[in-house]
Amino acid sequence: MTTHGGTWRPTWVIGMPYADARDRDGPIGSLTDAELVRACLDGRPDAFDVIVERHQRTVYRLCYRFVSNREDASDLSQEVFLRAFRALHRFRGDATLGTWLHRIAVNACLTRVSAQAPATEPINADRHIDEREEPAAEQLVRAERAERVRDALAQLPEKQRAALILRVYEEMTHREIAITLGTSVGAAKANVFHALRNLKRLLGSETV
Amino acid sequence: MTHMAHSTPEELIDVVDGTRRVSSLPHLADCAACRAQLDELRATIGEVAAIDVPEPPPLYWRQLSARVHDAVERERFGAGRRIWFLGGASWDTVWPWAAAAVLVLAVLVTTRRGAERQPQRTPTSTVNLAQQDSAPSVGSVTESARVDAERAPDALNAGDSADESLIAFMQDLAESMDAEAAGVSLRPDGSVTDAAVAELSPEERAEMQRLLQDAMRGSGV
Ligand SMILES: [Zn+2]
Repeated sequence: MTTHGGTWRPTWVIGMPYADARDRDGPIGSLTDAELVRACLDGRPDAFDVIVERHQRTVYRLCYRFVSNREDASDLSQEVFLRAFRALHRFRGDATLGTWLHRIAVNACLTRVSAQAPATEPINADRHIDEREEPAAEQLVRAERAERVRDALAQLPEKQRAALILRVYEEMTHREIAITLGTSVGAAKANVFHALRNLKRLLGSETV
Repeated sequence: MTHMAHSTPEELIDVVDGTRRVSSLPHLADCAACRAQLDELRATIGEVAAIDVPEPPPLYWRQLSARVHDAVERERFGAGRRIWFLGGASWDTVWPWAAAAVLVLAVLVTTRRGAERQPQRTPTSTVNLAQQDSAPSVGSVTESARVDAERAPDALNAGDSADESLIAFMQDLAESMDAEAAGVSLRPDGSVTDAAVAELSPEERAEMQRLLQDAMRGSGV
């Protein structure tokens, strides 16, 4: 919305097809994250599309770590961006947008894992595999092993699973994990320790 | 040395993390069980770290961003309600104007209807507005507009389609504002709304009405 001399004028941009909205008004894709946030708050709906395009991989990958299947990871990613959209006016810019989104994503994931145990994807699910790198048989063995680890991760108690994911994949320190999970540093370390021991037990002794 | 207590989980995790040196735990040199435990932790964490997220098909990212786009659009426009004319501005910015639009339209419709059909009726929203000494809640503003809008159809048996569509539009707008207020605990300053209404000249009110009617025609209301 803009005002000219006190007279209200609408900006007729809504209802524009997605592709058109993305292409309009020049190089919005070249804006920095902070500029995109400003543009969103100033009423440019296409600016949020660019934010999504820029950060969706990171958000999706984090979500996938927690839920272990694409469908739930997609739902969760959508939820993360919706939360971000609703809270965008509270983004102060003292952290990067990526860090801010990461925090929202971790919170959304923790909410989700406390609500339901993940259903891991079967290994024959439609996956994009780079066939140039590895023979099919070895890929299958690796995929099966990865599947077993994911299954085992999914069976861990909620806090152990969250602590391990944050430690290993998000590379948080135990202090950061403690703050995120609302525990002591000692408890965060104990959660990682027991997560690893339980994983070992679940996976058996074959290769680990 | 094996009589010493075994290493604690915290100590072992610190060694795995590299934040504690093995040499700081002399027990480890003498206790095969603790060394085995340490090796196991390292191997397991290595295995977990090696698990990558399966790369989705190439078109997936476009689908995901389109899906998020649609969800955000629904969010922005109150699940498809006809408030798209508000432009891309956030509710925080638009709210006083939207509230003013509802109130002004309520006044216009009620006054017009009152003049034409029921001269004795008091325009409720006008009274409400005049009584707003302190900042009103979102509910009180939108409720007064909605109550007025809900009463309106009774007086429109003659089938004034312009008024009907205007009233339907106002109801939608009022509901959208209620939904938004409930969803994000919006707490607009009532005095801003009052000022927005008070500052509108008759020409601006007419312009707002015209814009809203254009909007309704454009959206096929
Ligand atoms: Zn020992």
